[in-house]
Amino acid sequence: MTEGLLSLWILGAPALLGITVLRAIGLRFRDDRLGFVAWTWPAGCLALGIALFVYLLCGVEPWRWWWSAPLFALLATALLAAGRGKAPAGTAPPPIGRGFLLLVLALGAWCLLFAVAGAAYPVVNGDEGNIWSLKAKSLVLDWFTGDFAQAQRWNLHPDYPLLDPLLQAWVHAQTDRIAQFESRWLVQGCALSLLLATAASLRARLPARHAGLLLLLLPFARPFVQASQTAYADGMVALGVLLALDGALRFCADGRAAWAWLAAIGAAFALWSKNEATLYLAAAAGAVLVWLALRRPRTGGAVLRLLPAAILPLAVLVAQRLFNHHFGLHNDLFGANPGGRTLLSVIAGQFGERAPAVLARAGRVLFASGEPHALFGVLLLAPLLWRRAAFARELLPVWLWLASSLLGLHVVYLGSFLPIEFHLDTSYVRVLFQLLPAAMLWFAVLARAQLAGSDGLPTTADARAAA
Amino acid sequence: VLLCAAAAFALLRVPFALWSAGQGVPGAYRSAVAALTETQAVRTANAVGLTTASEALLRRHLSRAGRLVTFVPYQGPGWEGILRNQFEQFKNLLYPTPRDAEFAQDAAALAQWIEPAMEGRLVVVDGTQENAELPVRGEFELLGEQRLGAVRLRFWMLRKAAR
Repeated sequence: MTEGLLSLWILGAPALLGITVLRAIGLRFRDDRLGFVAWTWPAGCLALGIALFVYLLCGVEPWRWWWSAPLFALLATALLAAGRGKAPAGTAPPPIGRGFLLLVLALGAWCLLFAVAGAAYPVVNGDEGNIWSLKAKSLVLDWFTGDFAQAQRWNLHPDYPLLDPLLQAWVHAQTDRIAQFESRWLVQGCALSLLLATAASLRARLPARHAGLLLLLLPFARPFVQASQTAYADGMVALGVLLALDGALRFCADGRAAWAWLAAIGAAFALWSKNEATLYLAAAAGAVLVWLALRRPRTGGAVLRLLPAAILPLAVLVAQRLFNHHFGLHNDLFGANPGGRTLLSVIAGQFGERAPAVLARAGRVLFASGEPHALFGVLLLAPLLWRRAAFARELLPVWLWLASSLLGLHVVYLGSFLPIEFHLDTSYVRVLFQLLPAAMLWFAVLARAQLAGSDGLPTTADARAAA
Repeated sequence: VLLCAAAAFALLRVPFALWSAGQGVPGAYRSAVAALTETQAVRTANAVGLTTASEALLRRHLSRAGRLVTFVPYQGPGWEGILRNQFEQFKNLLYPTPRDAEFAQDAAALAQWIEPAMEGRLVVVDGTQENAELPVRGEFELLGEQRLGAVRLRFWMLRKAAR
């Protein structure tokens, strides 16, 4: 009974926090029912992570961490009260559709099966054990003994961001022991949230039948199953990236500040989950600049209005960099590798040897495998297939961002100090998966524009009309 | 037409992915049942190969500044994979007692981790299935042994390293 209540608290606290945060930024359940349920989890986990990070910095010991949720709920409620007058009237939600809802529920059950199956194994295997869980244990066991920095030499990637370990540390703290099985619960929740958020983002742009078909690309992908089973952070990045894109597109469509904040929450969530998100942020900045330079879009003012919300992801990025700098935690791509070489020198030195292997793997996975990553092949060919639509208005920066992010990921493989085939075998499909839900959303927007015979950005109202 | 072709190109992967993921469903179902019905001690023993008693024994004899060396003296890439996997599981399960964990597949590799500074702080988890002593110079105390299925593990504490 007590254990059941404790489990309820462990999972319920971030969910309640998420609801409060979403309400505080001006989102309502009626804005997008499915989306609201999905977004609750990352919003709550991010708020909880920030709370725990502040607690660590202030030296608050784990047995007091249960304060986090109520305290931050209070703060968020205060924000809500402050912003209530400014929230515009919500529009009627796009209909989910019974068939689509049943499909989402079935896929959710699929995800839950693997989540429960994961509990047969303690968090000790692979990157889950060597990186994420080890950091979480270290946050609880080494931080307050004063040798956290020294302990990081035993971690494979000591510079990786803290959100995943913090969410595991929350479980350790609440159970008052190293929870070898339960600690991944909150991270696993992100896989379910990813499924729901993807479903919501597709349904907001496409009729139920088309959205349902496209959604099928996600849950059977190997990295999604892995994200459901383990505490790997790639599913978290995928979720954050999708939220950022979905929020930004909705903001461009109707200009509501709440969507900009949703995008900011997504970006911050991704940036604090894994380092690849920093690459995606740089690619996004580049894409927007190119777009502004090429098109002088009429929504340029909207981009400027995104800036206040941009403080959140930038703050997370700076905080993580300062944290790593303070504890001397360095990235293997930027010198902390066996040779002590920088990324550029490594790339220059091994380009000829590695480029063919990376290109061959990309060709195989994107065009000739059973992986849903084939959608990236469509993305890369889009300028040839739909010259006007792919480069039209709001789709241009999205395409530029996704394409340059993909390119950046491949450059990282060129600069890796690990044996190339080993590195590709162990991570390529999983890391590219981080962009798959966002690519699905891009395709949905493109498809909607093509089906409607326009090059404009479809809105939730379009989806309602289509339904 | 192009849109349908592109969608079909991507969606054609779904049956393959579903087939591949579907292969994992019976295993996932068995794991889910185990997760819901077995104790954590049983699940740990099944997954990591270390009983609760052995885990307690190792934690009792190892400090944060200690060292755990997993030793499996059988050669071949298959054995190397098993050893690496086992070493990682032990390391991550026991963290932070000790933080330092290593592995060895032969006597020379084992010897490089045995040093005077680690006397009384180093335990070798010995996966040798024959009744042989550790193939390195030094004095070791047998703390205990564990039999899990057909596999035997012995736990040796370094008392005196060769100088």
